[in-house]
Amino acid sequence: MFTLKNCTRLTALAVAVFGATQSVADDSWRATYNLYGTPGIIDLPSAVAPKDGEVAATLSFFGESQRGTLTFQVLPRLSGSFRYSFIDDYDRSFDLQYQLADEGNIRPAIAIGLRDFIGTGRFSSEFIVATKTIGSNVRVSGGVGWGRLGGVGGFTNPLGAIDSRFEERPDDSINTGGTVLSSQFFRGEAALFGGVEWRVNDEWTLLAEYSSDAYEREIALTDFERNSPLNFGVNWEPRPGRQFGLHYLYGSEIGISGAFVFDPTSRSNPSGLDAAPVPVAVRGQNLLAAASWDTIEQEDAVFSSLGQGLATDGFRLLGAEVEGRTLRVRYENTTYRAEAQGVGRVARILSQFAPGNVDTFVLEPTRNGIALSSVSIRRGDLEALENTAGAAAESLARTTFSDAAGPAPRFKYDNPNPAFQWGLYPYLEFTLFDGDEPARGDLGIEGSFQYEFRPNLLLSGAYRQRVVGNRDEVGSVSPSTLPDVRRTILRYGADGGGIENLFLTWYGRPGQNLYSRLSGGYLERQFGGVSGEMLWKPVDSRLAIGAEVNYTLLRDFDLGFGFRPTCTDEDCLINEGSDYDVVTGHVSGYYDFENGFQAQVDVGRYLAGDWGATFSLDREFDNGWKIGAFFTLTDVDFDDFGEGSFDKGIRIEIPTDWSIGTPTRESASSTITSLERDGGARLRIDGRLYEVIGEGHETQMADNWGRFWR
Amino acid sequence: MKRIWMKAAALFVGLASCGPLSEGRSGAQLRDLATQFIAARAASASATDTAQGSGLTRAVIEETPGNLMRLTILAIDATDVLGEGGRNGTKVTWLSREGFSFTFDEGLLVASRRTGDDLMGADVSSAKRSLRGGGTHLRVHDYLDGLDQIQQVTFRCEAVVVGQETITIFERSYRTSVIDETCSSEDLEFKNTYWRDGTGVVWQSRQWISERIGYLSYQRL
Repeated sequence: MFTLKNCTRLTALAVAVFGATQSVADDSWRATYNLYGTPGIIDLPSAVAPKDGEVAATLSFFGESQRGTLTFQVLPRLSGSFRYSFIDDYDRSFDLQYQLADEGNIRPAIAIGLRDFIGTGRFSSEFIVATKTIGSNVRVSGGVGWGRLGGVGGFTNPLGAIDSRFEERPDDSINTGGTVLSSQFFRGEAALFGGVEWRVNDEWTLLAEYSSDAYEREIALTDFERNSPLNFGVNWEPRPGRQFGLHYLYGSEIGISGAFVFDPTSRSNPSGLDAAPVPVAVRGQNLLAAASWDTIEQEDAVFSSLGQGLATDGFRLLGAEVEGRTLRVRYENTTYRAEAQGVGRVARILSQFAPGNVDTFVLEPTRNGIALSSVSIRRGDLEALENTAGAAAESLARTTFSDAAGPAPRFKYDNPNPAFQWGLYPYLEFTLFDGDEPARGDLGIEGSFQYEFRPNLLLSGAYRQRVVGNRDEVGSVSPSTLPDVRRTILRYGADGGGIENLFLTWYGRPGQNLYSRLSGGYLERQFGGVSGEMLWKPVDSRLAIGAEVNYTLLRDFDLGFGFRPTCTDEDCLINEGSDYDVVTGHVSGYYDFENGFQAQVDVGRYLAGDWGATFSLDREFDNGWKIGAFFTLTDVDFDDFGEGSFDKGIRIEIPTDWSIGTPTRESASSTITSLERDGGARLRIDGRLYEVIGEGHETQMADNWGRFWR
Repeated sequence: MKRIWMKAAALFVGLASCGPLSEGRSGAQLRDLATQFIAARAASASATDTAQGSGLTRAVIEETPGNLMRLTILAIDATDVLGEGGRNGTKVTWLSREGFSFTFDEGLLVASRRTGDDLMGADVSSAKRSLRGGGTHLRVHDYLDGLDQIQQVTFRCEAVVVGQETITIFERSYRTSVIDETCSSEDLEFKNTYWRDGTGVVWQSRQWISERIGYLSYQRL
């Protein structure tokens, strides 16, 4: 089973992806996505590599079979796929494909692939495939396959010449699934397959292939008939990135498929629809501010109007001061995704307000009340570089970044917005991909509030009332020897409503390069208690190290103020004894690689009292897209863990400004993770330090400094 | 242009509504600052309203304080009247009340904002020389790509004086030289046309912004 978390935003994600109009560069012949949702022909793979970063969501149907696949071009040569499929019941699978060689004048493109290499192995197969383009409109592919692809017309494995063990394919998938089936790879009989794609014109492609897949499981368990190894199809691409296929399969079935292909690296409005910035005021030409400020009252009066001015451009002024020839402001960017863009716009507004004797601006962007970095910009550089070619690179080179741990500026801006803010929204929460139903969902109303005692001291809470839904209608909870810290999560709020969270958070800057967070209250749906975190990250460092310690109690199912013991029986219906409490904590290392990959390792103790580590790797595009995967291994046995064997998942985050073009800090995100089990479970708390401060440091700002002048 | 954005206007109103600042020099200075922007905005607004009522006349233009320009993005046939909102050396930034801005250096476009595919900045120093009587030159344009990175494009260009023409803009006539500037890079090409008077003022022109947005045309009013 799979659960989709953070699903109130699923709709937003769908809108973000499917509503976005974007052109995908198509100067070359792009990959056709097959019934498996991977680069291929109809049912078979090809060696064509999609464009780096490309994301394809594919649905296909034939006979009783259904497949839904998400494929991501992780690296220029590496594709990764996640699939949720139905043969006789629902199952999930993962594929990897690596292009060993790209196509040359004579040499074909060559790729090696592992299909369904983790888990129950229903599609388990490996292949090596070569693809050659002939002329400009015909692509021929041929390869050798093992596993399912070695099912028809098989011959003794040629790898048996290396080691006779290759001739047998063992069945070693364990009951709980989820483990890498490496002992099967390239074992057993091998068979040849191949096919042709003929591009008739820009929209239509005809497809034919010879399949070596025996479809044993489908024949045994469903009405599927395999009367022929030949498949024929037609692929219609009415516009780039939208593929629709109609196929005649195995002499018996009609199949349909649709692929939606996205290129995170391009967007329909590359420079965005953000309003024009305030122009730079030039000293000695059109600067209308005073030559200098003579009194504190005069200074404070201008700062107050600076606060109003910044607010109308999407910034909140926290403080300001002039010292010598330097004007320093502390502010929060509430509007622009890229902190670099915020810095550029605030600097231009300062040029209008600052007296003529000020020659340096020091900008301190903040988040949750804590200063992230201190960005020093010379006023003369703003004047000299505005609207010139190469201005972005040049201004970055002339900007200095340093730590902003120092005291707040003298003048405190009195924020006219009320400290108490609230909202009422509909919410949609899904549980996807469990073994019985592809999707369950709840629809309801969420009321939330935030009270700001100080910018860095916040009380926030959320209450949810379900209106309709079936998310709690799961049958039995599969047994486990672990405390039920996650596996009973669907029983929470089954009565219809309750407190989602209610807690106080205090952020701080205890010293140079150091950030802190202390949270207390009902931190998440299942746990309440206290959580403390400290993060070390120099402003120019790609490495960050953090530590977190939490003491939490397990909350009652009714989402009230009470706590509960864990269950003691197999069906998890009897809760006896004293309330469950646990100390958890992690030491975390974060590294932001120069190629856009972001790695994180968390080592420590999890909610069931188990010890282990979580490994995450995300590809972060400079425009805010993030796609990544993670897994957690702890000292819990795979058998004790239950279905899935260990916690793992993939996640995707799409910045909303990418889809709508206008500036916003919002993003739509989803995590597709294995079913909530008790091993490797971490406290879910909003506002962990690395997420809060990351975008405001030098390396991240430099990544999108192109927006400084936007 | 569609009226979907009023925030910049609000900013300038924000600058103006500094009530407690009516005393002292900074207050006066700020009022001046505010006045400058408000003037650009107000000019743009009132002239736009008039223009949209097809009532833009020489009298209206003369009554409106500050310099004005009528600008059209040709591909989407959107026209607005812009007010002068900033000067940096020889570069003048013109603002529309919907939050668009266009910056011209002696009449040559060096930046746009809010079109969706903006010219982020440009080097037209040798183009300005070439426009004085014809010649060849290079242009450097900065664009923002889908990954927030600046893509710089260098164009090879040639400017040719193709004729003399007297143009009339709202009852006023200007004797101009008509100059065609053709430019090409590896992948892109465009042709700009300028109507330039003897003092160097480009009263009317048609200029290329970017690949996706295409051309604008403007008339100084």
